[in-house]
Parts: sequence; C-alpha cells; structure tokens
Amino acid sequence: MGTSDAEAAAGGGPGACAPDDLDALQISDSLFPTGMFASSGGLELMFARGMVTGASDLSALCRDLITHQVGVADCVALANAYDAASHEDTDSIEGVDAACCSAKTVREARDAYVRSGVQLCRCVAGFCGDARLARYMECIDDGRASGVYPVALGVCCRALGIGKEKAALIMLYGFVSNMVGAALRLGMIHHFEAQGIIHELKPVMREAAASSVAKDVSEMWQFCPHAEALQMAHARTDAKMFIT
Amino acid sequence: MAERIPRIGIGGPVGSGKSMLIERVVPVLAGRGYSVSIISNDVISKEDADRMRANLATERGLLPENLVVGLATGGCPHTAVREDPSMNISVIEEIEREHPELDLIIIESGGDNITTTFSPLLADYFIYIVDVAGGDKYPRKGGLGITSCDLLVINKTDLAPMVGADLEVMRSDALRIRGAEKPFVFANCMADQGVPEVADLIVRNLLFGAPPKSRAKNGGEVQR
Repeated sequence: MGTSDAEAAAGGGPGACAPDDLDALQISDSLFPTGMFASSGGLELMFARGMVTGASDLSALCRDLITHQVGVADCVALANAYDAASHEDTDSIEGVDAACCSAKTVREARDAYVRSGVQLCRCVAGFCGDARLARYMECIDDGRASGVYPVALGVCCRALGIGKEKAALIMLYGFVSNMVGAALRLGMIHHFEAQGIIHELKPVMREAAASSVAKDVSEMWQFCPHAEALQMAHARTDAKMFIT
Repeated sequence: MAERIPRIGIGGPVGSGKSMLIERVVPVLAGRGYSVSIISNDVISKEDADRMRANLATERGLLPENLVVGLATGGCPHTAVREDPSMNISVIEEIEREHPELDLIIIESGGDNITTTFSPLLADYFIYIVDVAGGDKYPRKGGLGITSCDLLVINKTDLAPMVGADLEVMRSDALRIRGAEKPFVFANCMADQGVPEVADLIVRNLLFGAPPKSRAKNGGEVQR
C-alpha cells in the first residue's frame, strides 16, 4: 500500500517512484472493472447529430466538461470524501455522497455512476482490507449512501494510500480516457488522435485536480445543461451502443 | 448482500438464436414453476429486450415487465460479460435484493465471436449457441465459447440441408472437441425442437433438480 504524495516525495530523490504509483496505475487502468466503458457521456448522440465530429471538437468538449462538471463537482466530491475517510468521519462521507448523487440530474448517468462506484468498492475491498472502506460499504448496503463513483473513488483511493491530488487526477484521467475510448469505438477519431487528445488535455487535468482538492463540498458546482439535455435525449434513443 | 440467485450466461455469434432460445426456454421453465429474470446485453439497440418483454411479460404474463432488463455494452459485448461485468453484476445485485423469490437469472450476451466466455462471478452456467448457417466447421473450429461452455446448442437444424451443413459432422466434432461428458443439443428454437432438453439440462445441472422456490415453500414435489 502506498502513502500520501508528500510522504512519497520525501522518501525518494528526483525521478524516484512514489509508493502509491502502482496503486494509482492499477485503479486507473482501463482493465480495472468499473463498467465505465459502457458510457459515452452523451457523446454518441452528439456525434450522431453532427455536433461533435472530430478530434478538435472532442478535445474542446472534454475541456468544457472538466471545467464545468468533472473538475468542479466530481473532483471536489472526491476530495471531500477522501478527507472525510481520512478522519474516519462517516457522517461527512454520507453528506458528500448525497450532494454528489443529487448533482447527477440525468437518471441513466446517475444509475451508471452509482453502479460503477459500488462495483469499484467491492473490487477494492476484495484485495485491500480497510476499515474506512468497509464502513462506507456498510452505508451503501444500509441505504445511507448511494456509492456514487466520485465518492467511492475518493474512499477507495484513501484505502489504497493514494495521494488526494493523484486521486483527483485518476478521476479526471478516467473521464478523458473514457470519452476518447467511446469516440474511438464510434469511429469519430483514430487511435493516434486519441492519444494526442489525452496528451493535450494533461494541463487541464492537472489544473482541475490541483484546484479541486482544497475546496469544501459547499463549493461544488456544475453547469452543463446542454450536455445534460443531450444525455437525457440519448436515454430515449432506441438504437445505441452506450448507456449514456 | 442478498442471497445469490443461480445465473445462466448465454453467448453466441450475432443471429445464432440467443434471444430466440430465451424466448422459447423461459415458457418451458415457467410452466414447471420456475421464476426467471432476463438481462439482455445488446450491442446496438434494445430491440431484443423490448421484444422479450412484450412477448414474455406483457402478452403472456410469464414474468413482470421490469424483470426484463436491457443493457447497452458500449460496443464491447465480451467486455461486459467477461473482463468488466460490473454493470451486469450491479443490475443483478439490485434484482437479487428486490426479488429473492426468483429461481433463475438469465444473462444474454451481445452477439460476439467464438471466443466469448462469461466471468465466473457473473454466470454459474454457460450456454453457447451456434447455428448451422455459420457452416458445419463449427464446432470443429473450436474457440473458448464452444469448448468451455457447459452446454452447446446447435440451432436452426432445419436449415442444414439448405446451407450444406452436415449435422453428423457437427455431432462428431462436438463430441471430439468438447468430450463426451459435456452435453450439446441440436435445436430448432423456432419450432421448440430441443428446447425442453435445454430446460432439462438447466434444471439438472444448474439447479441440481431443486424445485421452484414457490413450490418448495409450499412443500411441493421436486421438479426433474
């Protein structure tokens, strides 16, 4: 198990690996089972309607969604859940869980986020015994928490000893990787463009992670009504590859 | 967590008859008193789930409409049942929590290639279905789906003369590739041929002859 970023930095010289690096790689790997691969965040419908047609459009969309939703809402929820887990404050975790879940206004997206979060917890608990994670899972089983993905990821990263900011980066990287993966499967971009988009968005992800980790849950916000309306329309589509 | 309900995974190539097998075997199981839920993983539409819901639930009342669930797979049907079955497992856990009275949950994979397998955490019993129109090279060609499944169903046998498929070749190849102890069934699901045999094998090899929960509760006889 790893330690915090600060502890990691103190333990190694320039270029040294941090103890939590492998934990972060494992949980951010597309092989890690969360079911997120089945969602496109509304991209499928945006592509079908010609609203997002190529690499530059997709990059801009990801940037917008990070700065208006994932970075300012999901990452803030993750960071607060992480802190609450650190303090073994189950009540606060429940509060963050409720706030985060209520911000997911599209039912299909909310269901998918909750299902992914619950399965993430089950998987991590299977190989990492952690009392904080166990208590959060009790809350989920009791119906006191939903298990929504950002909160689950925060608690799981704390259980694995992954640093808080790195945990936010995992959230953001997962979002971008998922969107790019969906675009690949839709035939919107090719595989070199996919990696180019991820590289191009690294500064946006770093900035979002850094600015989210110090914010209180009361500072969570999001504003992307057009994307949410399209996700709702996507949910009513008969022929589709993705859940959202 | 709720008690685990026995689960069947059904996989096979596109158009091999996965949905039709479900539509035909569920009435047989229901007729024997077994309560079933269906999760249909579809690659591009929810048409199969909608049709099964209309046919089995709405029209015939064999199960509640909300127990036929369609799932999108993000274009990766094998991932959804093997590498990352999270969405399927999550939906199943919800069903298990809300419907402990069920005897069986059937999970239909999206149409895929012959290497499809189910995660053992997702399915307890794996049925793989091919059709003769794919050529009598199957099951000789092998592939994990064909070789590892608990039950191989070779469907659309009525088409064999029209597509030049030799059923005897398929029979001997199935025995050779899978071993004599692993069952296979020739079926024409559209005509219900082979379907009762599939139901028999499910009850015997997955449920180990257990009676329907509703009947067991009432002290009824064991179904075989």
